[in-house]
Amino acid sequence: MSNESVASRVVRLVTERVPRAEAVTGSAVIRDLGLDSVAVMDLVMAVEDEFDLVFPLDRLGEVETVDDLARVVSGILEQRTAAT
Amino acid sequence: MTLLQHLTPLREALDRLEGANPFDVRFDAVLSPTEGVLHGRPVLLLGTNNYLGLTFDGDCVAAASSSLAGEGTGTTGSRIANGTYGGHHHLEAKLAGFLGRRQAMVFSTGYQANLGMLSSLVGPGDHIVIDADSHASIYDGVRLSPASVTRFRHNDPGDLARRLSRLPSTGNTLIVVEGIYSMLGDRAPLAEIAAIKREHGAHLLVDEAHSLGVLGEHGRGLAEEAGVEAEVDFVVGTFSKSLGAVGGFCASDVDGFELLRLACRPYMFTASLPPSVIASVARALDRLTMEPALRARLADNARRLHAALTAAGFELGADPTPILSIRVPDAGTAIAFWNRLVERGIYINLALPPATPRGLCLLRSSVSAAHEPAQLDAAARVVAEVGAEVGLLGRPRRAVSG
Repeated sequence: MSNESVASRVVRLVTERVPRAEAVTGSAVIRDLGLDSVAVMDLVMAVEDEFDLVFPLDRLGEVETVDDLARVVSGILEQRTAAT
Repeated sequence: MTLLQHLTPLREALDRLEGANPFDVRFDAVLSPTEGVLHGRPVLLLGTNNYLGLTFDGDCVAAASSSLAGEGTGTTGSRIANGTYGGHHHLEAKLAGFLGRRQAMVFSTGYQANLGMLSSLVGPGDHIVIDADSHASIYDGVRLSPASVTRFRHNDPGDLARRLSRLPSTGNTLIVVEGIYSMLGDRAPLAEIAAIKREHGAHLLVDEAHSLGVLGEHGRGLAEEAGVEAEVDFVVGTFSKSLGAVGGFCASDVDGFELLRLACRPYMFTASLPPSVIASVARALDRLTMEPALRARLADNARRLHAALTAAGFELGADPTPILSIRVPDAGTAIAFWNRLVERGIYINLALPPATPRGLCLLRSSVSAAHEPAQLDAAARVVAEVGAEVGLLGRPRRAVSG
């Protein structure tokens, strides 16, 4: 596990997929960054690989900003830690 | 905020279209499985999924006409109320027999078959894993499911295995793939997927919408071709492609299948298929079963057009299935290409993101057994000429045939 925080790793994953060259911040609304619905689901797959977890698609309903995405990821990681 | 304001980006995208709107095609007439009239001009139909060319088949039309006169225009009711006639029941038994399954359910469309099965097959605490390039009906179906849903990379068995291994050990798992994918025409690597399914103790649903009647020695689809029918727990399909009508189905050996008739909302809360449609589908299934020559002709035609378009310089998938899609670098070129083809008498499908995988712009053709080789050769020549006009190809080369 890298020392990089969950939030910064999520920002990095989003940045890699943003079609326009711009700085991605945690408060950025993901759909405003030019990612269509398929691109957002592809981002979820990348998040699953980065953190080695399952991110159920219905949880995208909780995600508007990059920070929201990081928050769901942190929640899934915490649940997993609690379960083990 | 006014109603429909959320659709403003769609309105802006439509306003940017030049020429005819490719998503509002209105045929003046459809004359045969391969010929129509569009904007007053005769057109070759090369994008209709009419794989066996049975829409004007004399026997199918006669069966539908007879049923129409004898049983009326519609059932006006649900399958679980007044909407199941003898024909519906007979067709379900016939489909189950054809696919070597104990049971089958008929739905009013293929879309509803996926919606119905995916919303009812698994419950809370279960998992569904779908191919990333799945059809919209699969995406919409899993949204109605209480199970957790995740995607794996298109046609990547290794990625599927990795994602399955991340799932909790509790709950059932349903893997969902398609026989032939509708946009690029590529087959699923079903033997590998079936092996992974077995290893992980999962269940497997295969949507054979574009492969039923197309693949396999008897036309049962990719599972037959790949020799893994025993590993497929649920076969979903449609009547609106190789069977030339409308409707959908699911066939399975699973215990308790009949309960789905009282749990599956897209089956219960909609009117059943008109008896005339049921009659034509039953007859079309006979044709599919008894005339393997139709399938052979379809495969020959697919190879012929694939070879001609590849020789002309187009980038196609390696797999010559009846769906052949030309990749175009941008939407503007794709729209210009599509409009010019219509002007030159060829109707094919235009497919743009996000309806396509990986942001691809596609000119999608689907070949039929009813196409004459000369029609396909002529079409390939025109497509190559127009491809050169829109800057997609260099100087048009002579298209090869065979």
